[in-house]
Amino acid sequence: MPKLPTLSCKRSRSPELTDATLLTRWFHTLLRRVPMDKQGQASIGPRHIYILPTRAGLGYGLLLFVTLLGALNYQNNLGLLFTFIMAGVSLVSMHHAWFNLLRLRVRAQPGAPVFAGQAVRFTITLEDGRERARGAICLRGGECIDLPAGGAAPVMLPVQTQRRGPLLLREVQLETRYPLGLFRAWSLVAVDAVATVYPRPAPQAPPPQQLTSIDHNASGDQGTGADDFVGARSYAPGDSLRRIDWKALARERGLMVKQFGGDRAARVWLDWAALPPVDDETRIALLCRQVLEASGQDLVYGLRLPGISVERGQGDAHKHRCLTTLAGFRCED
Amino acid sequence: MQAQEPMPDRVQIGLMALLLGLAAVPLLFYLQPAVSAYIGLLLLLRFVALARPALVPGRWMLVGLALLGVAVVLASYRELAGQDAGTALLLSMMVLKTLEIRSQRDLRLALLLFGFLLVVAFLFNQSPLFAIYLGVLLLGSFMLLADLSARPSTAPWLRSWRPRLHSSGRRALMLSGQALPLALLLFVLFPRLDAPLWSLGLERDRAKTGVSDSLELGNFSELVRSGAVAFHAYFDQPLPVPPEQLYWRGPVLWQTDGRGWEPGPKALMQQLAPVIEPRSPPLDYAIVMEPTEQKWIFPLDRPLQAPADAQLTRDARLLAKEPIRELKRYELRSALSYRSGSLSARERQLALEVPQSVITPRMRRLVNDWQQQSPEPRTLVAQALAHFNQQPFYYSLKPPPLGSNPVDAFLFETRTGYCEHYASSFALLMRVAGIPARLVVGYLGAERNPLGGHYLVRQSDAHAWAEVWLDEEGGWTRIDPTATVAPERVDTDAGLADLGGTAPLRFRVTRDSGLGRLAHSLRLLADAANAGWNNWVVNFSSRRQQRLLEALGLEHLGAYGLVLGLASGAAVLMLGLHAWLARQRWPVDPVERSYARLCQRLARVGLPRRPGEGPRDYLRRAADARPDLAHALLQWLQLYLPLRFGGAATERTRQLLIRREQQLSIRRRASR
Repeated sequence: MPKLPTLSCKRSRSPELTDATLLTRWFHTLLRRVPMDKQGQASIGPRHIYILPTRAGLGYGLLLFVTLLGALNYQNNLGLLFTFIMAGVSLVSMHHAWFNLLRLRVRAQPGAPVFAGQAVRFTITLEDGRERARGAICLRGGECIDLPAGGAAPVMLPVQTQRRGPLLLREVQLETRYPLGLFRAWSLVAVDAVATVYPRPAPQAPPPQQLTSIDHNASGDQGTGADDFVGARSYAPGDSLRRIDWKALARERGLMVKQFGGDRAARVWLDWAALPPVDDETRIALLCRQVLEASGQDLVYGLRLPGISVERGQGDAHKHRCLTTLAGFRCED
Repeated sequence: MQAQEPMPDRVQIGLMALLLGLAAVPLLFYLQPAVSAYIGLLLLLRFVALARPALVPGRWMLVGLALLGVAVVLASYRELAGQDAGTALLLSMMVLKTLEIRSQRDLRLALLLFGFLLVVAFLFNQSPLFAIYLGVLLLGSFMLLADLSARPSTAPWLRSWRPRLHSSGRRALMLSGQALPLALLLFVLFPRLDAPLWSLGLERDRAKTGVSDSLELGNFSELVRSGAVAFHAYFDQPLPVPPEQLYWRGPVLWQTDGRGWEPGPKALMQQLAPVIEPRSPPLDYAIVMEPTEQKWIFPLDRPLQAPADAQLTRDARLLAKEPIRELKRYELRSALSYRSGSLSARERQLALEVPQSVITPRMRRLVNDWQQQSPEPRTLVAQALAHFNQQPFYYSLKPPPLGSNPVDAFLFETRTGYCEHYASSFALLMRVAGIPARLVVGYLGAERNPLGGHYLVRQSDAHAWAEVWLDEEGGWTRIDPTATVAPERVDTDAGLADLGGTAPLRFRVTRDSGLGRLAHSLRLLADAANAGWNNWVVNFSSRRQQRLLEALGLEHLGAYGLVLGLASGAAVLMLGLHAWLARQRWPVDPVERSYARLCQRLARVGLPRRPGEGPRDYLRRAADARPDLAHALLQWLQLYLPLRFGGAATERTRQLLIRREQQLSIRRRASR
């Protein structure tokens, strides 16, 4: 079995500025955040907007400086006038960039669960609070949108995950270079959204305990019988040769075993203790794979972890419960 | 930091190339043909390659084209740095750059350089039409800048260009409109330099215009046919003489070979002017010289002192320190009547020198006749003038050819000529008679433009007259022999009539046809507009700023006044812009509008909505704070919540909600 890239769980903040330099990140710790109200909505106020020229804006400033000096020196009044028009337009555009963020309402919705290594997609809803159309408002790491006056629109924020566990989205950064791209206004907005990151499933896992330790004490029929064909699963040592699916083998699907069920679905325990003695994260990955397979085979399954167990059940909600338990198991805080 | 920027699309590159092409077209007239051809061909390639991208040259091809461009500029100008060569190089490389735009950053860089090019273009031409044209191009560059910063995520090439350009064009117009007050404030109050800090040698060699500092008989006729403006004059006070008697003094000529006249020896004439004693109240005025590439300034006869960047010579010429390369305003002071200083022996000798070869016996006889009647110089001058008046002398711009001794032929045979013939033969005769004489070239007369209130002097007003030294008159005395020609002998047909409306007033060319008068009025209108433009835009200077401060009573603050005005004005304008952008807008939805009104009215009585506070929390808080309003507010909230957050919203409840809000009376602490 190949060694899996396993990372332990950590209650992780979303890495909102993963690409930023240390300096920028430190700088950002000094800035104000837009606070949330009780409903989890944040409205960007005048003190929360930061603004700096972009690289294009700095170049523009240099151009203005050069033309100003030249026109002054050569006493060329029209050159001076054009320089001042350009300067005026860039100053006005600075105000527009600032107002483009003012009274923008931001709210984050929880993201759907994903497996570690996939990207969580948070939905951030932006709403105009000033009855103004707004152009090209960008969510850092996400996309850019235009907002009509008084309108609202969702923006997807994909966040790449590495570890299992709950992923908290504490803040997002909204920025705009509207209207001329000479200035970048930005705001750090506090949000509160969480997404569950399931463990990364192992590529394959040993079959659950059903054959070696069927729960004979359970009431009702035995989970696996010889009456009806219910499906196939991978061969495991000790399986009867009569049950091997030779046709599947001929089709090069590997060594499969036909499973026959009784009038009840199979019931299995996915047990931490029954797994080979590997490290915790590998066991969690294996259990995760087992949950997925059991769920795919419509088995009735339960999960037993040291100290926690999930009663046997079926269906998507049950799967989510099991995977969430695995995601949060032995989390460092 | 920034995610991968999308490639600029065809619309953006096309717009950039279009802007550049439009900016290049007027400049091509000022550049060498080879450079123009190079730029034209590259632009053509750019536009063809928009439709067929396969034609965009590769990297090595581009390097080759760049080298070729440098070579073309070098071959045409023998340099890369002067104004013409530098502009040619900038334009060539910018057009080349449009073939190599690989990212939005490239395009932004091209736009920056485009702004620079627009400013540079004003070194070539500062006419109002040109400024408007470049203003449109500047607007175009804002438009492209706006388009570049529109939502980058939506693939722009999927959207059609028309709505895109429409929206970015509207944005560019709005921004420019809001920036204009600030730009004008900066323009008026930004302190100007009185003299350049450095010179990069950006001057261009242009043809000299206007009168020259030597005179060959016959070379005036070209000038006199030109209706072009020589300069404008601005008087603060009413003119003491009719405008057709204004003598504008230019070069003074001392040396003659009988055919042409030359200025005096430099060393002698560079001496500073003697103190002139005015005999009439001095006249303050300003003239705005058109560029001539020469140093002559044309003050009224005679200037009393030189402005800062000019000098007054011994023979009362006013010379700028540098050739006049662009429109320039001079504040001057002259006395129309004066007593000039002394005449040195060297000057007397110069002013009496006669080229013996051209003096014929009949010229001597003529002078002898006058001397016998009265040897006194003043009478002699009067006799010479009477001679020109009584003998059949004709004024014509198309005089017959004069042969090898033009003065003699003019005096005794053809007797037809114009100012330079009269002035030069008069001066020569005076020298023969022993009276020191010299020639002055300049302009005579001015036309008042009733629309601008200023006076207009055209090239066709160019004139030449003589000055003789008369001790009784206090020194150099102006004598204009041309003026003595009997009016009926002015040949208005030969050449003058062609001038139409721009003919000098003194010739009294009739303008009785309605069309001619209309054309003349239109010309005056254009002149007034042009003079206003030159005065208030092109020639706006620190002196004018000073006057503005004087008008505001802030002149004692000097340059600090300008800076103070600039800072406070800019602050007021920016605050105004801020307030205007921040002005409240009412929601479109009537229910929301009603809620916004309610919020505003509650805020007025000291209960403002907190940031991020929802309607439910807010109105409940307000109800707690104001028990007198509690019932009405909570009732209103019951109507509002389903309307806002879904539920049964009928037209009736909507109207009820609005009516309740309007009927609600919210007063400051009404009842305790």
